[in-house]
Amino acid sequence: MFSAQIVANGLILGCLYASIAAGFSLVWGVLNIINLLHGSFIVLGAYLAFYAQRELGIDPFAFAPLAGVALFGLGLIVQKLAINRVLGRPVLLTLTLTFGLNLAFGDAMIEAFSADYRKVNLTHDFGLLTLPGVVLPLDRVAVAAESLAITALLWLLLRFTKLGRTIVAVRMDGEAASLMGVKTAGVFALAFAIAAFTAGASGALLAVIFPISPLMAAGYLGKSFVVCILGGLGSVPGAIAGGLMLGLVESASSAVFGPAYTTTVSFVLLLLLLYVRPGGMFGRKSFA
Amino acid sequence: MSDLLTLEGVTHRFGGVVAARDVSFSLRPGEIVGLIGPNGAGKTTLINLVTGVIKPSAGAIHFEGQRISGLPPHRIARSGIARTYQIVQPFPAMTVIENVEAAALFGGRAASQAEARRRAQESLETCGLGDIAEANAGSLSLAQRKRLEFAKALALRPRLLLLDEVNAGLNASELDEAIALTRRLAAQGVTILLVEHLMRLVMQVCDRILVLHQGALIADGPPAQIVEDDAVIAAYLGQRYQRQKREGTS
Amino acid sequence: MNKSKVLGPWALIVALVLVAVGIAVDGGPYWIRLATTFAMYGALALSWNIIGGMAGYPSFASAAFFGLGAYTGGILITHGWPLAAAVLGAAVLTGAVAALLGLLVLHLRGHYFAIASLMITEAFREIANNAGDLTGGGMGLTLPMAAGDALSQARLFLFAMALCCVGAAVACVLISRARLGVALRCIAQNEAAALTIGIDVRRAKNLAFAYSSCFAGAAGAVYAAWVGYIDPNDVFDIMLAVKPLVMVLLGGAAVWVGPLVGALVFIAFEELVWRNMLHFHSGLLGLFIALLVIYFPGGLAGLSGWFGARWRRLGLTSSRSVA
Repeated sequence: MFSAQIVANGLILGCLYASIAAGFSLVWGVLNIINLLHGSFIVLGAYLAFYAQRELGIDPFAFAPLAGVALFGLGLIVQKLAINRVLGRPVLLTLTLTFGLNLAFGDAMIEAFSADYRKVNLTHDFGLLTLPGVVLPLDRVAVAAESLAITALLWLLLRFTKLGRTIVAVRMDGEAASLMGVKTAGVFALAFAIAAFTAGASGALLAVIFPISPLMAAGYLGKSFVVCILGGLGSVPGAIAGGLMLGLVESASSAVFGPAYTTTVSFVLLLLLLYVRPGGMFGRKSFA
Repeated sequence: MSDLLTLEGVTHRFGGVVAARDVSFSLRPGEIVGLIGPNGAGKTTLINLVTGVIKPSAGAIHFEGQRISGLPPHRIARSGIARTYQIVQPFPAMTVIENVEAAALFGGRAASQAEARRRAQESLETCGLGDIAEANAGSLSLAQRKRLEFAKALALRPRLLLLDEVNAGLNASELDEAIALTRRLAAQGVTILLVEHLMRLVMQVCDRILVLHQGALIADGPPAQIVEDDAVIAAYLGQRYQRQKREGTS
Repeated sequence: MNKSKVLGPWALIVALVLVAVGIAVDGGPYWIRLATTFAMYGALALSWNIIGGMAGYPSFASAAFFGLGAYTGGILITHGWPLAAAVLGAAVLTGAVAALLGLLVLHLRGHYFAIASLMITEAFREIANNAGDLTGGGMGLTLPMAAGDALSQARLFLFAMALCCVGAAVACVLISRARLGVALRCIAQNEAAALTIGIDVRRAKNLAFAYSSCFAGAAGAVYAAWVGYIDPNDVFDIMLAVKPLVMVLLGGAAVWVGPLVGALVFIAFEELVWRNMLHFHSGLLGLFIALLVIYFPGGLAGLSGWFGARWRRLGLTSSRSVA
């Protein structure tokens, strides 16, 4: 089951999954909000990359940071207008809010872009990397590398910059932070926007490998969630670990059960994992 | 008279921390026993172990001859053990009497909702909450909430009552009422284990004192003996307390 | 004692039946269809209320059980079972499956539970898509036509759906008044304290989940027979999980009035606003939901909903939180 090819495929997918989930994990861990818009942000990033490539000739690898910036702005707006108003309210309300927003957003995207699948055609062919037992398309390797870079950037931000450490402090103890004069509302807004940045940039990179459509949003959201459960909340290393795990699981499952049952397999694994460790793999052992 | 509650070699390990270390003691029916020790000594852990919220990693707990370690919390609540929480846990959207009714209905094993209501009424009267029965539990003062905890515990018709710092935050007169209530319950035959920081109260009310330090039981005896115990003084009371006792100023 | 006894759930149920009869007798196909849809929404909202409102567990699994009921009922009918038996069979099976799944997911809290319930729906959908031999796969399942002309069929399905709705309402009332209702209210407010006073929390939650799913499953089975053709995307649509939730948010979790009022308001919006928009209608629904939440009054304890406070003043519900 775990041939070198499967492992390699899994790792490449895993790097991508890590970067699409890292922002989602940040928002969940810091704001305690499950951002159902996350999948749509990713897809929007992909669309921006698609149009940038088609109209302006910029290929996604270069455009990814710009897509990130665009989504950063959007994230700020969404946070200020909507998310900010439900911080701290019960799960039912926050989840329903982001669901409603996502519904509107997704429909808007369908109106704007149509539901047809699009595909980015890279200007030049990257070719293949051939190793013993493993054949890797180099564009995928490049995507994996760049998404890993984005994830690493996020980690560096959280760990070594003042803003990053403030975000972590607010997550750890929002009350203490605000007592020390931290404007928590602003920090939440930035955290959300940074998460949107990573979603947009990752979406742009996704466009290299996968077809794009608003209908894909739910799938990416689901994967982000699984990565968080596997790797633990609010931690970038956790997102990387979770992403790699998911990539490997999907790669293996695809080989064994066929690609149609990926969701069911992930779901069953997830349920079993949550049964044993309700806080996720690296989270708390139980809620007691 | 056989023991009501027995702990034998009870140990609890959690993520590298030993919260309870080979703890053994017994409670006899009708006793009021104090459980004291510095913060983090493991007092609440012990209570959680007895009530089934956590399971011992080693050792056994018996209640009225039956083994209860390993049973789920609701089973233990139904078998005659009630507890109060350090941070009070009411049902905030229900009225005071509804809170106590619920306790009577389930743990108290009332035969019907009507009987539960009757028992709840009794319980409220005993705790002096009779006149605010219809008030919303979320709107009570701290002292009232503490009494509500008491009333809920009573509605379980417990033979053993575990009070976890139920007196914290009360002023002097509220404290006197609480002490009177505790004594009344003991007189009715309820065995009480009292976790407390207020030494004055513990000395006044308890027949016996258990001292916990870093998860282990370091002393077990009547109050007069405990305050002279060197280990207890070193761990908890402090030399100053001992000096004050000797000088008669504490 | 409390004024809810004056109007009483039974009066409401009689009223519902009368309205159903009236519509069936007098109304044209449009009104019959509308009433049937209302009954379906009512059944879903009331059944969600058992796990979501009373127990406080934000379940998104209504769609999973609706779909499961739809396929079970549909498959039974294609094998010759009469409607009533098929609906009953669907309800029972759905309840049993929910009880089993409950063991796996009900120990989760908050977000984890919500998302796990969402994933149940996705997994069911995928299974239905792939188990072609049983379910027809992506091509869907076509049910044999019922006997009789279009109008009498329409009336039949109105009654069937109304029965599901009434059943769900009765269940809500009975559960709320029984020990289970007390247990669920306690669990919703403070699960740790509930355990301390002797409530078997796991069992109570499981029962709530199972009862909740039964009625969603029954409604699904009737839906399948009513529309005659179902496919996975249709009956496992996540909107079937979100709409009931929104209805309860609108009308409050008050046992029998709230979800029905919410369903009424929702269906009014749907008919008057969204159906008339060719483009962006789910987008508009999304905005509606978002605004509803942003401007949602107060906290969730008691879930009075937008209209809840008014109901209390009119004496339609007691002062108890979700009685």
